[in-house]
Parts: sequence; structure tokens; C-alpha cells
Amino acid sequence: MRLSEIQIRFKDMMLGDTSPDDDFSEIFAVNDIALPDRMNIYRNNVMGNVGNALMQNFPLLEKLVGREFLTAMARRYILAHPPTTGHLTFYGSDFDEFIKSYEPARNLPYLPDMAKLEILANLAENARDDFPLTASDLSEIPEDRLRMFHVKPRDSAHFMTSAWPLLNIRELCLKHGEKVDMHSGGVFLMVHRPLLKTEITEISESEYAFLSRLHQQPLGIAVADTLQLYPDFDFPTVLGRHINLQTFSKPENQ
Amino acid sequence: MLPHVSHPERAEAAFPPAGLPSEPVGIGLRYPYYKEVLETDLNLGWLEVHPENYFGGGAHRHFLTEARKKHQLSLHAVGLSLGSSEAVSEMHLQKFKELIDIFQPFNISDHASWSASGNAHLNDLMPLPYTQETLDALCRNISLAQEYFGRKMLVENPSTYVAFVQNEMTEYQFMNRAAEMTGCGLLLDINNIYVQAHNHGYDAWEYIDNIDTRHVGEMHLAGHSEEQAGEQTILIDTHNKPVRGEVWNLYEHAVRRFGAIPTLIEWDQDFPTLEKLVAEADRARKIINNINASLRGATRRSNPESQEMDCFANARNDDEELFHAAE
Repeated sequence: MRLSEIQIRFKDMMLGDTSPDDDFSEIFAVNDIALPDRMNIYRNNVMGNVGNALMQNFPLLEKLVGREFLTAMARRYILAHPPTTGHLTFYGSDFDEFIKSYEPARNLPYLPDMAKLEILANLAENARDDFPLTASDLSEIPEDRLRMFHVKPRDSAHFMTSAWPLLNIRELCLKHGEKVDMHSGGVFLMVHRPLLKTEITEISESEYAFLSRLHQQPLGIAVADTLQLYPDFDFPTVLGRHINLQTFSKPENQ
Repeated sequence: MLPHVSHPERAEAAFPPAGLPSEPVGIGLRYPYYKEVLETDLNLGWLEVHPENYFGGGAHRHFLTEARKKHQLSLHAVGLSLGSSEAVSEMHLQKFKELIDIFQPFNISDHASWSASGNAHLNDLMPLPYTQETLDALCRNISLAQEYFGRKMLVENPSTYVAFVQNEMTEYQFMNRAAEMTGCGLLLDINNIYVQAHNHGYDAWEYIDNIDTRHVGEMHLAGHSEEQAGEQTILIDTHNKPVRGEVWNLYEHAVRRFGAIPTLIEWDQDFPTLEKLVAEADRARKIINNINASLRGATRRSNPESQEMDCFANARNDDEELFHAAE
């Protein structure tokens, strides 16, 4: 049997498509210890390694649903979406989408958004290190070029919105709150890492609209488009706030 | 107050020059030890990390940068999947090389195993049949990686729990041939040899006696667990316990054969205190020192005029070769 075929059969068994009880006598030598016992060592290792890596990225979810529920959900996710790379730092980046279709979580409609919050926190925590744009960097740009200047959010800065009170749910998980009014309204959030510590900051709806545009649009266009939707958008205040929060990336040539 | 963070890509000037560690024994730098490793007075020797844990930036990179300012480093990969029938991922090579360029490790390594097949990566060390076809696939990937990195790498012997009917050679023959075919070095995991010998019924001492001394560039020591399967016991390489007595004996035999090769104490689960981990490293150091002392005594008795023997001589020569292989 070719090496590629052995590896495909082995992989299929690890990911649950084949039972260790199936006949592998043409691949593995027989000895004192039954083959299913030997294969289960590998299976447990794979599910343990990948499962632990996944669950480490979702500590709030574990608080919300308990270890047993999360373990079962993680196992189903791993079998449906096995890792595709040899590093697991960002594994589970579509876990929120999986949860939306996971039947046992149907009665927890806020769960996908909490998963999204943790995905963004993990992205921020492990983002490439870069330098923040400062007020002095901006002052060096001639006024006539400022409109078309691209102010990019840093690699660690991410924005999200939810119809659920995610910050209150998070506080509850961290044991800073006692109960959450689930109908208290949604939030707009920025998840970012100014230096080493990842932070979650509440932003306004217009701020969210403006910051999300900066990935694609130059500064002047993003401001104009935001003002069209939100006439009260206070650009100078928002810009100053995000310079202080170190939201933007210093351009490579500075 | 957060510490001042130097940009990792610009911090290399602050690192001690890359070279063999002055102390032969090192420990694995793992998350629970980050702060203590930077502050302790304990003799840590050198440090080892899995590069995959540092592919991103942030706090992990920061602590590695700070640790590298004080210690020599070995980058021990777990995700290249060198034994896959398909080629090594270029993205993985690129991220690994970025770390090599920044952190200037004295050794880089991965395993004689596979984990990637098709579009799935199992993220565990899967066993290989010891055939010519596998050897060719493994050597293709080792050569690809060495060419990409521009330097020699080490390849580690695995712990396995199944044997293949197709095996055409012993594991030590397979490892020696991989080194001969690619010019890579061997990372000899003494615990894995012990586990393999038990699980597959062969002689661990004979294994060590048959590894070509010219190839060994690093050794690993770790604890293993026992699992009952019917009336039999199977050993599992769990890295969550102290090194077993039988493995220490085997290590002593390996030091006599290979010299004071840089040795790592691996501990990856159920972490002990840093003090306890360092005590394991001290034990390995003591074995090396005792063998060195007995060799010096023997040399003096046989030839009082000669220079003292140095267990490190072997390792140093290997390492010079290692650093210059790609030039």
C-alpha cells in the first residue's frame, strides 16, 4: 500500500470516518495489544490536542455553557472542520458560524456572538506587532493629501456589532455581575491590543460605521460616507479618541 | 503598568550571538513559566520552544524576545509534517523561517512523523512505516526545509504505538539513512527510544549503539505514562512526569556514546514548579559532569601529558558543521 493511501486511511480513522475496529491487518502488524486499543491512543491524542487548543480560545463560552457542553460541541466542530494547518493559534475562526447551526445551542441565540467576540480577542492577542499612528504622524501629512490618506486600523483592531448585551454577558462570566437583562439592547465593540493586553472597548454606532470603512476607504471618503448616514458624527473627537486608543497603524514608510 | 515592549523584529541586536549554549542542559519554555523564567536565579541552561506557538505577535513573542536576551534557544517544531507523502506547507516554512531569522536559535528541529494529509492537519505526531518510499518522502521534505531555511536541521525519532507490516528496516536504520541522505542531524529522544523498545519489543541499548555518533545534535528527556491494555502495558510519551529511572540509565549510556550533546528536559502537561523542572535538568547535568570527570581521570592515568578530554568536543564540532552547512 502506498504511503499516501496509508495516511489517508489513518487520517479518516482519526476524524471519525472509520472505526478502529475496521480491518487494518494489511497495514499494521499484529501483536499482544489489540489494535483498537493502540489506535485509540492516537485518536485520544488528536482529539485532546485539537480540542484543548480550540477550547482555550473560548474561555467565556465555557463559563456560559459548561465544560461538558463545550467539549461535545468542540468535538462535533473538529470532525466537521478539522484543522488545515500545523499550528492551532487561530483554529476555530469560524466557530461562531458552526454554533449557529448546532442544534443543541438553538436556545442560546447570543452564543454565536459571544464566540465571535472571543475569536476577535484571539486574533487581537496574536496579531502581528506593529506601531500605532500618532498625532504627530498625522500632522506631518499635508492638508491637501489628508482626504485621500489611508488611515488603516492596526492588525490587532477588530470591530463587531451584536443585538445582545455582550459586555454585560462577559461581565457575568467574569463574575463581576449577577444577572443580565438580555433585552437591554445590543452593542458596537472594538476588540484591540494597544500593547500586550487585549482590550474590549464599546464604541458608538457611527464610530463603528466609520472605523469599519477605513479598511477599504481613504480617510476623507470614510468621513463623508459616515456623515451622510450619521449627520451628528463628530469626526475630530472620534479621531482624537482613536489616536489615544492606538487604534490606527503607523504607515510602513514612517 | 505594562512593560515597555521592544518591537521583536528590531530586537535581535540585543540578543547574545547565536552559538552553542555554555550549559549543556536546557528546559522547555512554556506559558506557566514565562514571568518566572525572566526573574529567576536558577540555572536554566538554554531554552526550547515550539515555533508554532509564536507564529503570531503579542505577549508570547514579547516573552520569547525577553527570554532570548538571556538564553540560547532551540526551536523545536511540531507542525512541519516532514513524513507526509505531500510537500511541506510553504506557509509553515515561511513563518518558521521568520522566527529563525529573528531569534537566531542554535538548533532547529522537527520529527520523523507526519500529521498532514489532504486538507486536514491532525496536529499530532503520526507514525511512519519504515520503507524506502517513506524514507524518500521524508528526505524530500527535510531537504526542502533545509534549503528554505538555508541551514541544517535536526530530526527527532518518534514514540509510536503501532508497527507496520510493510517495515523494511529498523527505526535506527531509518533515522541514520535520513541523516546520510539529507545531511540533517538527529535529535535523539531517549525517552522515545525507551517507549519504542517497550511497545515494540526491541533493545533500547542496542538502538543507541547503532545510531551513528556523527549525526546526533541534541537529546531529549521526558516522562512517560503507562496504560493498561488487557494484560499488557503500553507506554505513552506524555511529557507530564519526571524522567523515569530506566530512562536516566539509558541517557547515561547515550552521553558516554555521543558526548555532552545539548539535552532538553521536556515537560508539556501537568507542569511542575520551575524549581522541580530545573532539578531534572540538574540531574542530567550531574550525569554529564560525572562522565566528564571519569573521562578526565582515565585520560590522566593513561597519558599524563595529553590534554583533558572534553565531552563537548563532539557536540561543538557537530554544531560548527551545523552552522556552516548552508554557507
